Amino acid sequence: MAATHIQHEEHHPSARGYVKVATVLFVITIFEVAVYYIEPLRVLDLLAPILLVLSALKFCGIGGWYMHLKMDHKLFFVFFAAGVVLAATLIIALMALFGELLEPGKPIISMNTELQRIAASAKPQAEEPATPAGGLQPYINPKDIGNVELGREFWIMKGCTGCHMAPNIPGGGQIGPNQGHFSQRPTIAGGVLPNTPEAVENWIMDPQKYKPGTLMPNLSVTEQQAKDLTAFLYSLP
Amino acid sequence: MAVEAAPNPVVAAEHTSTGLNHRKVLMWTFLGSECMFFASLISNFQVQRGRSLNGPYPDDVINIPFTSISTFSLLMSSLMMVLALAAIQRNDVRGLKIWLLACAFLGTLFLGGQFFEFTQFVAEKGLKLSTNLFGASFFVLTGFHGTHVTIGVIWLISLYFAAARGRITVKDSLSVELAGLYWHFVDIVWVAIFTIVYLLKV
Repeated sequence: MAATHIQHEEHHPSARGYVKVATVLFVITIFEVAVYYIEPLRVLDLLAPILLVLSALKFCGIGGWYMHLKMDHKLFFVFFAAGVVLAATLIIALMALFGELLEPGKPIISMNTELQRIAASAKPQAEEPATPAGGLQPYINPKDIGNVELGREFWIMKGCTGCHMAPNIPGGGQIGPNQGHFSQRPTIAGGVLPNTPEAVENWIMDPQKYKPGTLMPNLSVTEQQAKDLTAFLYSLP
Repeated sequence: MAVEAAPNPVVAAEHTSTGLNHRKVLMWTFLGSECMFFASLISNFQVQRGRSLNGPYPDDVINIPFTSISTFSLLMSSLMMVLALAAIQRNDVRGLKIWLLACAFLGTLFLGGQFFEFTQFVAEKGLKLSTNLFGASFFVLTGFHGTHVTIGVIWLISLYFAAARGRITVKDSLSVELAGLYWHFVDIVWVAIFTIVYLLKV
């Protein structure tokens, strides 16, 4: 009994050792929160790497000393490390798969969307302007505004079909207006804005600014995405 | 055989093929699999990051100073846990009971913080599980972590009562060590969540 007791003392840190580790962990956490408030690090894109290194240090502190992985049998370390490595690989692989690693915020283009795109572009009338002459509004070539095809992808990907119907797009809800003959409308946003490409782009980027309380959500689209979406809308027959 | 790797008397008595105690091996394999469990939830959060179509967004709801305090309480509870283990390894049952209670208290403090945070998000900020992708991935990840902390607190309190009835002596220090491993793991997961979900929210 006495022998094993002594062995324990050698294997595990003393209470004083534990307090030392706690102090280090405490200081790292203070540092983490402080780093969060340093604005220049954010601008330099250094926030994420610094925070990841600091939390890795905390991870090792708790795992190594509090969980005794540093002193215990190697097999325990192998069991846990295998789990941690698999976990990290899973997170990195999924983030890479969804484009979050290299191009964060880039739209996910699924196989389904791609098939819909091919099906839609197979129909010739989707590409050509609807009614160039005789309409109420002057004719604007959608291709001068942006990329119609990309706009169509954003239309599906951003979930516009949740509320709007549009010609040649499968499905579509009835909460917002049907966008057929879009280019021929005199106004948009329920009469609040004139139907010009610039007004449509501004409206898409921040609907609440022009019509507070509108059901149209802010879809956090970039300026280029708004242009492409507008081009798509103007191309609708 | 393999006694050099087995400081605990219980371990020495078992004669396993690895020379390691079964319960401890079980605990470590369980924790390895728990890593995968949380990895799936963290991946989900990371993949949905910034894809919510409507608010509230992370910037609208997350309160860093408040969560820093609950993070500190969880971190300090880990210290209480190792002090409890050190106490029972010295056969100091009184010390064990004090540190276990302190650890359970700090864990409960953390849970209270999370309860307050969730209530505030739902009632004041209008962020629910079904509001947007952020709400769904945030509540599932932090909710499962909170469940783990709750199980840990129950475990600690049952150990306290066992110790109070004199059922835990230096021979049973492995029981305290295993509860400690689970508790530290829950703390380690929070280290990752605090960084990924809270500090890197933008």
